[in-house]
Amino acid sequence: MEVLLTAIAHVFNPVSLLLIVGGVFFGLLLGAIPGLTATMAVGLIIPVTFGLAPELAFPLLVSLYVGGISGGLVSASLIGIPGTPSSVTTVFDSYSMTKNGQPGRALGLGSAASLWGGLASAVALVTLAPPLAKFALRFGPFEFTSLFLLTFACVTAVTGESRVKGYLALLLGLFLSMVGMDPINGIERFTLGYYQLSAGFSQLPALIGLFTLSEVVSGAKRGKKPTIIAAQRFSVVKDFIETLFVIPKYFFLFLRTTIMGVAIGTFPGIGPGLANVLCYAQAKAGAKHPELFGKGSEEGIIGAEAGNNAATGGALIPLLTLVLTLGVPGDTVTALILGAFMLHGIQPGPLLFRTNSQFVTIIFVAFFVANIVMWLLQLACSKIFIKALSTPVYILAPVILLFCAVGSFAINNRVFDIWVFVLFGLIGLAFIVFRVPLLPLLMGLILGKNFEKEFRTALIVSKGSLAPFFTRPISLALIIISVLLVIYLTRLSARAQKTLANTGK
Amino acid sequence: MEARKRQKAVLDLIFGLACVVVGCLAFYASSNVRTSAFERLGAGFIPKIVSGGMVVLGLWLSIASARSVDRKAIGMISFDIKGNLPVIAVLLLFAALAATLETVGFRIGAFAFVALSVWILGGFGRRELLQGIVVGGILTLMVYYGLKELLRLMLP
Repeated sequence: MEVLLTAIAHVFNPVSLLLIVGGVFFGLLLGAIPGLTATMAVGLIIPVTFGLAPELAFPLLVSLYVGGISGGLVSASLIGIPGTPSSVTTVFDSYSMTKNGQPGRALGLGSAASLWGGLASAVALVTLAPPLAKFALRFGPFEFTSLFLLTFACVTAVTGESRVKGYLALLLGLFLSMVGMDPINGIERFTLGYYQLSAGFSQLPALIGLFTLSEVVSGAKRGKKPTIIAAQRFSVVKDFIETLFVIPKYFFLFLRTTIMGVAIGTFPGIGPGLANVLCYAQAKAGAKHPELFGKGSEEGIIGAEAGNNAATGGALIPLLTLVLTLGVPGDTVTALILGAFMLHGIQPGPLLFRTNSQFVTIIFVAFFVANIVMWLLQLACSKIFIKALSTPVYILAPVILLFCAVGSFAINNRVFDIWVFVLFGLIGLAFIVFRVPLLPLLMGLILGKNFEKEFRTALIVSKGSLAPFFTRPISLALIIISVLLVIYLTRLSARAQKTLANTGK
Repeated sequence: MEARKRQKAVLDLIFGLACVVVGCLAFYASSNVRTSAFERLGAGFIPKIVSGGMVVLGLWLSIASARSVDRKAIGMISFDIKGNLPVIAVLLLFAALAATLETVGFRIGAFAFVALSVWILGGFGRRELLQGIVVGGILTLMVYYGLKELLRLMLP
């Protein structure tokens, strides 16, 4: 109780609160602009957090995450383009509602569903994370290896049209993570004579490069000025207050999609994007009038937005708990936050709950507060976000690139990392051209070194035998879950694509 | 739909072959990693498995996609150089910024990069040049003083 009260006092300290409000605002702003995502918002701000204490830096990053995911709603509702991948299905009904002359209601409903979904996932985070952390303390190298395999299986199961390309992306990511000293003997590998690579590629420039450069370039290519068609006048306050109390009317739909969102977010490597699609599909499947979906259905908006925001809390659970020496990110944003943990010298994982419970509680409280701030900011600043939609991409693109250069440099104070950013940016661009999913590459890159360490340690312990992987109960259970999940997620992913194809026509 | 499938097959073939090449190079490099005589599972063990996997899956993807590739499909793949020229120019400018950052310093380099990029992406208009100069100037000063003076971050 004392820890909780201290954490609340810390989060409501003026500096911390200002950072949370600023973080949510910046996240909403970037999320609202099509082509700019929560991943980019977090990636751009991580270098800025170097100058901050972890107790201030991580609430800021969590706020950016919440804001970035919710920001996609603005452009989805008003211009019919999902601001982020996690608002893909929100477009179907919220934009139809806008076209029916109710833009305020569309925004209000989406924000209210995001708020309640986010708060529910915060509760799930607080209740599920500690027992999971306790359980994860039983893990040894065999269990960790199996857990990494589970993560890789999840990531590649939802890669869409070609699973082989997903596996190839994963293998490439794994290989790139092995550049530098090997984790057991410290032997230098694949550095091509660059001493800067002896510790491997700097993770953050690589991650920012993979996502930001490709997004900026494709955004700059799309056109100079976005077209805003929602210039209609609407009363934000009235609509927002009204819609806040519409949610209880759809309580069971909300409950179903929120639980589903949290559960999907908890799977390593899968985040709000898939949650948005699957929760929409779930809402449609359980609706009395599924024929209204795609034509401005309130249930469609609530299902999609409650689902994606519920997944944000779910995605933080594996990051904070699942692995003793390294968290497993729930999605791309939590992957970046994981990089930030390491940069700040914090080892995520279950031990955090023992060694630094105060810090973890601060993150929980900040996540809770960020969701409320998100709704208030949507209410107060909707018109600003609408204006942000009209910012020409030709101005935004160079600004973002400059921030990326500064961020990449600031990590180790060396220009070499800007080149790492460029290299991975080009890899990201090539992946987009060849329609290869980026997430498996990212997961391989982040988790590769630890996967190798745990796998080799396990093999050294077992003198090269693979049998303990199948005789130790937790390891065997994880392997069985991996196989079952691959089958289940493959089916779910196919269903999500079918929903997208059917409703998005 | 058929055209999209064929286009995808060509892209898959190129990607598959690229993975085979990268996988072979990676396997060769992994085979040369120094390993102690007493160690069965040395530093090259996992990289060898990973690169071997890349070769096998790359071949699989190439063979699977090669069936749908013909001359017509290859003809469908084109790269619009003229349309992408502004973006390529900005990427080159970014590379130039990285190469000269330590020599010219952050303020001059960042200002020139932003001003020129806005001008190029905006379509070389006089208005865009002016916008670039204003945005570049304000942004450079904001980033420089904000990060360096307030947050004590190192800048070149």
